Amino acid sequence: MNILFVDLSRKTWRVETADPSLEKGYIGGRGVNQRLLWDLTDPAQDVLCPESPVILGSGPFVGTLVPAASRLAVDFRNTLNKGIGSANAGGAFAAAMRYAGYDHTVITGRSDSPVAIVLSSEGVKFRNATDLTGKSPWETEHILQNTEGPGPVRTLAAGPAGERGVRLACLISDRGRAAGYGGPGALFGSKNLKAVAVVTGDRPLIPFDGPRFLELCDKSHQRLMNSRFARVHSAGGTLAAYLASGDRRAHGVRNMSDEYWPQEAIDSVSEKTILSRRIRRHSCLGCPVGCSGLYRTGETPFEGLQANMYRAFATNTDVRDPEALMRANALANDMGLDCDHTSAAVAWAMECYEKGILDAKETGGLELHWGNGNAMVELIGLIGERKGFGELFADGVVEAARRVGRGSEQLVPEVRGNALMEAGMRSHPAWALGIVTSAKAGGHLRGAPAQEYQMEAGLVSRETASRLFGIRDPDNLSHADRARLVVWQERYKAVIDCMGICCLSSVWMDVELFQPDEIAELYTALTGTETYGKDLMETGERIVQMERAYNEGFAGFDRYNDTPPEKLLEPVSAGRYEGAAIDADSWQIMLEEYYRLHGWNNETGNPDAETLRAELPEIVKPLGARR
Amino acid sequence: MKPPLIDPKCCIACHLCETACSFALVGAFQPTRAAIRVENDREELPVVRITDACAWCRRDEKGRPLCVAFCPTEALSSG
Repeated sequence: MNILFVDLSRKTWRVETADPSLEKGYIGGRGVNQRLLWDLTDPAQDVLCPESPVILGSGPFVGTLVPAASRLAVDFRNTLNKGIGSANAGGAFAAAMRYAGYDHTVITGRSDSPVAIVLSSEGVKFRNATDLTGKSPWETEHILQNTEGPGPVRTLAAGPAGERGVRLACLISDRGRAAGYGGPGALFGSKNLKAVAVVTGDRPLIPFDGPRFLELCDKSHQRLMNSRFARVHSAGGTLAAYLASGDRRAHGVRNMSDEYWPQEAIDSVSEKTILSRRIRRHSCLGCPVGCSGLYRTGETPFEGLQANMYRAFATNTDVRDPEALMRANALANDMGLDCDHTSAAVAWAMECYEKGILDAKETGGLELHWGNGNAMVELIGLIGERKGFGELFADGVVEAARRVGRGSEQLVPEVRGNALMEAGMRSHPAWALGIVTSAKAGGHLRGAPAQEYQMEAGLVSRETASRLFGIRDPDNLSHADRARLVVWQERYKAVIDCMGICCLSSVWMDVELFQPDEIAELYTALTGTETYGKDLMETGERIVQMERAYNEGFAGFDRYNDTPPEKLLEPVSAGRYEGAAIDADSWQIMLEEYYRLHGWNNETGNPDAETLRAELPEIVKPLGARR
Repeated sequence: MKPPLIDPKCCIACHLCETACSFALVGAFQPTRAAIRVENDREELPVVRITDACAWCRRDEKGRPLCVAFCPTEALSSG
């Protein structure tokens, strides 16, 4: 495993071959990134200080024939809450980085002028980025392709929002694939780093047992291609899957005040109106599903329209105009703003406006009524530019509410300093538990089990539920079953984030795909290290423990932070889930079972020193010093 | 025997053909050594090109080259 260290202050770089114990203990991707984060950060430091690292990781499957293994793990210190920052993006960047010779890249320091770094098999070039300043990630890639080509140039770039230090800023890979949560764009901005570009390199990735690995890749490929998941998602991505169920599904509505959106609203932003604007499908590298697409709104082409965007810029703001939704998505990508958090900002501002907490004088004339698509798009631009009313959101939604006060704080669906933008938390308790306990501060891509929805739809057999999750009756989930599902998914997600597999084409969306034993077989043939599914899940658990300990040591989180946002105690107004709400007593039962399964202290909600000594001796010393 | 037939309109730019081809030719995943290239992959219509290094291999049990076997769409078919 090769790790590239880049120091932007001194404009130096070096490559280290990692000690084999790092790969043994943490595999790659997110696991190795998170382990490196322990050694490179100090809780006393400012999150945006020059020493604060951004760590990019690929996984051992990335760039091979394992299908849907394109993912890039981006790990850093969360700019909103000082705990872990952890994001993930598809595209071709991670594979390009591996082919160039680097499994992980650690970026520290601060350049005194705008810089882009260009990675190749020969090393690192520090490129003046004055010409890229103020450009969108899309334009940035275009310029870097012209100046650093002719071969394909893959990029990971901050947009104008990141340059200006907006903590809602993400990084965009391959023009339209975002690594969103926790403000990595602001970290790039603080380093004067506009982009990382990779010129495709010549490193051969050689499997330990080639014929066996090929045979297993072929099996995984066939299984994926013939799956229910691929049939739906090849046709129209997560968006089509989301829209198909209409008002029969739980939505995230009006700043998460409800989960019901009427069918006539859904029809106004229907699959037909959106997919008719798709120019073509566009896959991540190595993915046969191809759930993403190239779209056009007006003259602007853009990528990455997914179910999240629908929730962000339609249901959560009550906007019923497909053009506005697409303009919002395209503009957020161009600004380099994380769509989830940006939508949470817009939705919170709209709720404040509707309730009279904010008026047009304070918003600079923006009439932030529910459903005002033009005002939504305008506000996104202002947030990215840090202009006018948009400046309020530079340090995140929770901080914006703190500044405004007047009861607006209670309107933020907050978890660990981050504002949520989610659907289904009232109606799906395990899903909610996974989101609230997520170490990266919210988000459904950690422990939130989409398996709960699969079980609700009758798609998980008793045999599979019992064998995979230890659940006897998938049709009647107890509180303990739901906690068990969350813990299982936390471990499993850590494994696939280490390997570089996409969460969509996994057990998460279809229990038949990439079960732990299948991943272990592939890993054994690839590396020669005999591995079983249960070994991988144990590694996953260790990573979860490590992240929880980091959040305790660096951000001071404890059981209090596992409290769901208060507005989720209010019931759903109508539809299939009418009356559903988070029940405070059930929540505590589920939470305590969740702690028990992890072996965490019931009062603090954190791992005890003994657990850490047994599982993670390497972090006990630094953690001890911080307690 | 002929190289695979190409229909770029169906290409979703997953590059699995390149990865598979390099494995067939050199036993490693190394797209720079592949005899098939997907170019212009970010544009509306990718360009799929086969170079002289194509060995017209027949690598799977159906007698297809690996690039065709792993192509998830109709972009490649046996020549």
